[in-house]
Amino acid sequence: MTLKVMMKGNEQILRLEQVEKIYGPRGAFFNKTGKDVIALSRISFSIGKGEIFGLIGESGSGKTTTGRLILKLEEPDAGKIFFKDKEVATLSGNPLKTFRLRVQMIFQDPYQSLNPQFTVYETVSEPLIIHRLKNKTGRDEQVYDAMQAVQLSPPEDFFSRYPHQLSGGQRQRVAVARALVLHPELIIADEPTSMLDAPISIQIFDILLKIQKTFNVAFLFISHSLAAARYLCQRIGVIYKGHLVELGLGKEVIQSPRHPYTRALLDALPVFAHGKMVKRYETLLKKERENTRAEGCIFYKRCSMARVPDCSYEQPPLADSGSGHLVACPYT
Amino acid sequence: MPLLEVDQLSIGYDTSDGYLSAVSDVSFSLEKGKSLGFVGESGCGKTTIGMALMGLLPPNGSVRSGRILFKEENLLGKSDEAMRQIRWNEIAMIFQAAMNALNPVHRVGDQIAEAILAHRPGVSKDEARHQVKALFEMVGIPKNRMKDYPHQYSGGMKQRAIIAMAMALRPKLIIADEPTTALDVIVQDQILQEAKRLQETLDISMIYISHDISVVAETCHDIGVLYGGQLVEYGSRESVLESPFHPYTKMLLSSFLTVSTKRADVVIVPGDTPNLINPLPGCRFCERCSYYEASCKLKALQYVTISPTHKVLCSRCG
Amino acid sequence: MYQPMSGVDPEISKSTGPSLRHWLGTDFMGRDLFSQLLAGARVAFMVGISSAFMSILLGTLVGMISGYMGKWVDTILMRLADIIMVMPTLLVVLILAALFGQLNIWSIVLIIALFRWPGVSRVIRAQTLSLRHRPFIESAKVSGASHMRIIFRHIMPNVLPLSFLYMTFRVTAAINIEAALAFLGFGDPGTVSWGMMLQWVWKTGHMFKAPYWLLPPGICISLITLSFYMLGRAMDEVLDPRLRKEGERY
Repeated sequence: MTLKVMMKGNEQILRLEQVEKIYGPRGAFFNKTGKDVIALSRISFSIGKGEIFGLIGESGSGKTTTGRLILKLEEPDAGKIFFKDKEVATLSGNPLKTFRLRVQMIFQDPYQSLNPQFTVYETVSEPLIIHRLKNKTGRDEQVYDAMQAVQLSPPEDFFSRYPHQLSGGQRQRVAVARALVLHPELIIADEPTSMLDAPISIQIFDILLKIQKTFNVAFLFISHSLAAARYLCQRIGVIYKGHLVELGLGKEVIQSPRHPYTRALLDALPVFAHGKMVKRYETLLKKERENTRAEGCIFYKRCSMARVPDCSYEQPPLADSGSGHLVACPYT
Repeated sequence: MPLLEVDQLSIGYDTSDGYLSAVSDVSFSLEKGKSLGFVGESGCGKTTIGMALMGLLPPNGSVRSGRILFKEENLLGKSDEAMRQIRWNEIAMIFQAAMNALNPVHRVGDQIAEAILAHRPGVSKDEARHQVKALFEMVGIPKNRMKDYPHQYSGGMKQRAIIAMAMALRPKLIIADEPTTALDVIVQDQILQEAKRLQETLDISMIYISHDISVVAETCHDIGVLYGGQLVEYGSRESVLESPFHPYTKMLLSSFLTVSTKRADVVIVPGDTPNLINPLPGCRFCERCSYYEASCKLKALQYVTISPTHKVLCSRCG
Repeated sequence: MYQPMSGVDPEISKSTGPSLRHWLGTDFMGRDLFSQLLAGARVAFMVGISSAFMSILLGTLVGMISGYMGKWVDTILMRLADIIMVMPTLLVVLILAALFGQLNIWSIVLIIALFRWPGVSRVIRAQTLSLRHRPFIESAKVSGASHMRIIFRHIMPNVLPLSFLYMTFRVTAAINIEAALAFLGFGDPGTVSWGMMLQWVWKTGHMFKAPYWLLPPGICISLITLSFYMLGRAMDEVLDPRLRKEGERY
């Protein structure tokens, strides 16, 4: 796996190697075929220090699962995840606590990610208490700084408020402050603005960018929006039904997408979102193709560029199409 | 004569914190076969307008002033019985998260047939089923899925079924409130294209309500921008998108990222949407506006006409 | 005020009706009924509240741990709860009384608590299950919180309102069980409770002869049950709005 796509010899802080996750059948009601549901298959990518990496996919693509595996909220069924060259699966005890110090998360739903019984101060200071960092004065300072960084100003006004007294945008800022207070090296942001209106979204993005610059924090930005990824991320990975189908520099993936699925995503962007680009790739079939085989390219059924029957034999691996732009399709 | 004409509509809610002014002096019109989109953030009043048109305001909501003229008759003066006749037959609504409104224990085809039978007593069961088949064909659901239950449908198919239900009685006007939220980008695109095509072939008037400008930009002839219950800008799609005048419209448009948006293009205005409990007269956006002047807050606003198809609610930016 | 148990009015040696001296009359030994009633009230509250408190404490703990830990811990605890829930409390206590002789009031309280926790634990477990996967709990995990911290600092405060609600129900149950026990003659002979009063009425053959003696304790038991029930209903109303979801666009 070529790592030429790293930023100028930047230190790598996260690396996924051939990570897989399978969910077993839950009975006839949920899964008619009774087969295992493959959530993630052979996922490999890496994130450099201070880099914002975008993982873009639709619902059910496995993007959220990827984030959860990195945070050890679930364990992979195969493959390895490395944080600063230490394998995450083997961590326990003190090294695990240190890991938790360095990797944090922002959740999608600002209404559910804060404990309704905690004040803003209690929410943001809790990570400090868990890790026994600093005494009360030190904690006050850290919380104050974190709230300033997310532009909840003046911080004192917000300390004793409860989540139900805040707007969606304010709650999400509190969530960011909580993630930030430990000065982590990597923050997983799982659809951080999909439940917020556009103008508030932009405010949050602005905060994330400022945090990246000031604290040199890396982000894994998980989203369904290619436009948001283009705005925030240095590199973008496109994920479809558990497979990474394209990976490269943000500019290149958007302007010269290689994989038919990425092209279909760009085509589907509403006219307004294209901005100045109005290319139509037409890679999506109107009606799905029949495929009785279980193997084959994950996009075979909907791809207008597919070679029948060649593409129905196996899922192409993610390969370099030149200058570090990776695609899981040999025909583009 | 426009199909729908709304004149100085003001609506509010009685809440435990006081009187919430949700919609203030909104006027617009809609021709037969055309589409109008209302765009704005949560709390701007767009859903309230939709509910008022259907006569479905909650018990604590009331229309304070204004007229809603549908086919030249004021809907606000009508009795409950009269409104029931109009609802679904003449004006249909697709509610937010409507796909969850499908009854999980009844087959989809049956639910639509029920709606038809409920409003057209003369129609026989076979007739209704026949109509449902035709509707399914129109919205692009395979006919063999009629006997399926909602949980067997994908998100996109459920939304198509909801559209079929709204169209079942061939209404003159359909109000679609957030019709594609919770759908993936590719499905969203397909649904909106379908809706546009149906609207054109069947000559139905549509009102789209969305927080996402791209939904409205894709499907509507005219756009109305709402902020804090006020219609701050109203005009043809091209006019509003290409030459927005109101500072809020400019900010709103720039906050919808496109794949080619540069960070420098984005206008970030700090602050949040206003509290609408007992608001002051005057502009609701003024505290966040770069053109702010003391009189903006207190003076009642007038529309400035930019062109016959474009007006702005602002004294300072004409 | 007369000592309810031993305070015998020297001038009276049988059951008499209400008078200025004895507002509710006297029992068969000439003891003041009104003071017995008041003393019984104390006992009722004591038994009711301590028993309820203990069973809620136990039930909440078990429910939280069971719901949060899941797997075999959950299975074992819930099977235990099922077994206990199915046992008829009164019968078991009677058997124990028969085995160990007369029980004192605190043993009764303890035993009632030990048999009444399963109901609460089921409800708390259900609530814990629904909370377990909420983002703010996962966020605590991601911050490095230990299981204990999550259970006591995050889950418990969100589950306590429900515990308190169930406590009000348990109070009425405990009072009724104690009354039944006392009535059947298995109560603590050293304490006056309303059930005990009812037993005396019955045992001394005054049931149809002395309504002023029979009715007050019975009415009091009903009233206290009713008031705790209404307290529970009121708490339900207070809790409900907070359970409503937010976040709908309008």
